[in-house]
Amino acid sequence: MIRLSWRQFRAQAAVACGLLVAVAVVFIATRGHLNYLYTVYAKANTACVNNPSCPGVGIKLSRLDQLLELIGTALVVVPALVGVFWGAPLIAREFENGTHRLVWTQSITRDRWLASKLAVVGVASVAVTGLLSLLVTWWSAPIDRTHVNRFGSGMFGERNITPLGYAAFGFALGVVAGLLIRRTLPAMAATIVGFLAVRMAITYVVRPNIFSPRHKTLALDPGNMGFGTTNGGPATLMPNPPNLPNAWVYSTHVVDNAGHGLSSATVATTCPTLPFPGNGGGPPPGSGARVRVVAPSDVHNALTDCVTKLSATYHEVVTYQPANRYWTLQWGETAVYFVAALAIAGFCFWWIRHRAR
Amino acid sequence: MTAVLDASGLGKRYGHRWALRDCTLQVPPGRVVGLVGPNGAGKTTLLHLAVGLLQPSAGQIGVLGGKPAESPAHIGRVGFVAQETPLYSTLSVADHLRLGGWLNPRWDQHLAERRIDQLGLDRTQRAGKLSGGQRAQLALTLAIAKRPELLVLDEPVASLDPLARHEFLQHLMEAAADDGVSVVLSSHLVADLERVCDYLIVLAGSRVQVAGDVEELLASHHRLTGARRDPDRLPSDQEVIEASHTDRQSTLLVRSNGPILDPAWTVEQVGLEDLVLAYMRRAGEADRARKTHLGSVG
Repeated sequence: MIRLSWRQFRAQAAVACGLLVAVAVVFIATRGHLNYLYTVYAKANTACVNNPSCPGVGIKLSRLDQLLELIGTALVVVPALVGVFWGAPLIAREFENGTHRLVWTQSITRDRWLASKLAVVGVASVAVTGLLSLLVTWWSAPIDRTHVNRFGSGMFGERNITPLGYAAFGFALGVVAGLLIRRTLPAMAATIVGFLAVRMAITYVVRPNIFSPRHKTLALDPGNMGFGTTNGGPATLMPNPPNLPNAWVYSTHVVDNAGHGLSSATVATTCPTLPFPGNGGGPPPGSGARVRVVAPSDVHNALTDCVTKLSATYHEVVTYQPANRYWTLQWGETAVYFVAALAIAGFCFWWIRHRAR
Repeated sequence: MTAVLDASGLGKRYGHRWALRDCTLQVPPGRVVGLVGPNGAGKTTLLHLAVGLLQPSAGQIGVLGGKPAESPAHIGRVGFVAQETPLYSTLSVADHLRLGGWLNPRWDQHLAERRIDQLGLDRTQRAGKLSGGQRAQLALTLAIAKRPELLVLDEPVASLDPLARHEFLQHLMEAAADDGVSVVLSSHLVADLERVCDYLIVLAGSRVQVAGDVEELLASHHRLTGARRDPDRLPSDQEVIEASHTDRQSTLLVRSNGPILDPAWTVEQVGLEDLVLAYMRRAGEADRARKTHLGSVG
């Protein structure tokens, strides 16, 4: 039966292998240049951090930027594609063409039929996604080293082992949709909707809350402080991101001993010399390359004064996941998806044995 | 001898609707059994129950002395050609033969190849490119090369043109005669079955109307024509299947194991087609009567 499953699948396997080889060729061709660019960038950055008059260092990737974006989305999309194009038709197409009646009346059990189908296509799904993830993780290692946060909603799911879990889950979801809906196209649609819903729920709801974050209390540091407004709101002090390499920082707040936040009124009365509403001074927006903005010297002095006064009653609280939880979260999330995939597979066996007759 | 098909009180329900009910049958081995009935009568349901694709909601069914599809070995003893002869359209003829070999321990590759060559099929042709007749022949080859003891075919010739239909049935008969396989095939056309079957089951309105050896059926059914009279006043061993009356004359189709002795009747032989149609009409009327009755109660 394994041979039949393979015979039915081998054309699709060939396409997947072709695409993998193409990706590998592109990656191998560009990796050297990328590595060179980032080595230069890292050196310049180190020099810049130690030099107060350095305005900041940027990196221009030209066409590599597009490739970077492409591979980012590829690893999000591939597990969904696996579910839609390999999972959903696996059983639905047999039902649609009536071939389940042909194969279920050969001298084998339905269990073996399903097991071999799941084994061949399921292992291929995980393997293809795993190889792609390996390539992407290797290719983007120079970029990832410079990133502050490896837990981001994009990066976390596009590197290392999590894509394997997504692929197993996407495939299983496709199979069960096909088994229950019995028609290929509606099963494909159900698979993509279900897969995205679960992925988003786990990424945005479960992942940040599964481990309670740590809190770190820091004294206010004038050298690491900006001020400004957010979206036109009241102006306040804005601490720069703390120096926690590779940690996942949820928030940085300025609070007093009772835990109350710093109000803009307090800032205004304590620091009348600060020119509000601020003309810059806050941390740079976005998560791109870090650029230190140094205020003109009088503003700088006013800010130092202000921070020194406020630090008598206020301090900084950082809420974060420490860097060493990265692999715990990677393994944990991957395991959750694999367990879900196995549970779905178990349900498929039950259904095919008891309900599909 | 064990019956190839042995059903008692067999029924299959989908939700509230019975696709087949109160089916009690014993089909002796070595026969070519025709299962005839209108569309939606439950033929496919009965055949799917027999090959283990479905499980009964009521009663029991035995096939070749075991429960249908109770083990891979048991499935191997039953060959099945499903309705519309499903095949993997992207796989070639040769792939299908390979598939048969992979999935059936008793597979006879030599027989399969010989049949394919006799039919003049190109082994590299994809199944999706075959004509209806060729598809049916390939499906039959797959079923026969399993070396089954029982061959079950669900409307195998329904979509074939008359020539392909004739050829297919002829091949089926040759294969059955060669191996002494028991055959059960369904059709909604009596003419297809008349040529090849020696045992007939009439299924209509989800129930078995009549079942038996074709010759015995023909011998025990008579058309009686005579002066008009009430069919209820016939001897008790004569069952009226169908009655029609004009002002003066009655025409009855009766089942009787004994000879018709009443000289007032003109007795005629009944053809198989008329016999089947009479049972189907009777089932249809009973069905309508039941529905009307339910309607008046509700």
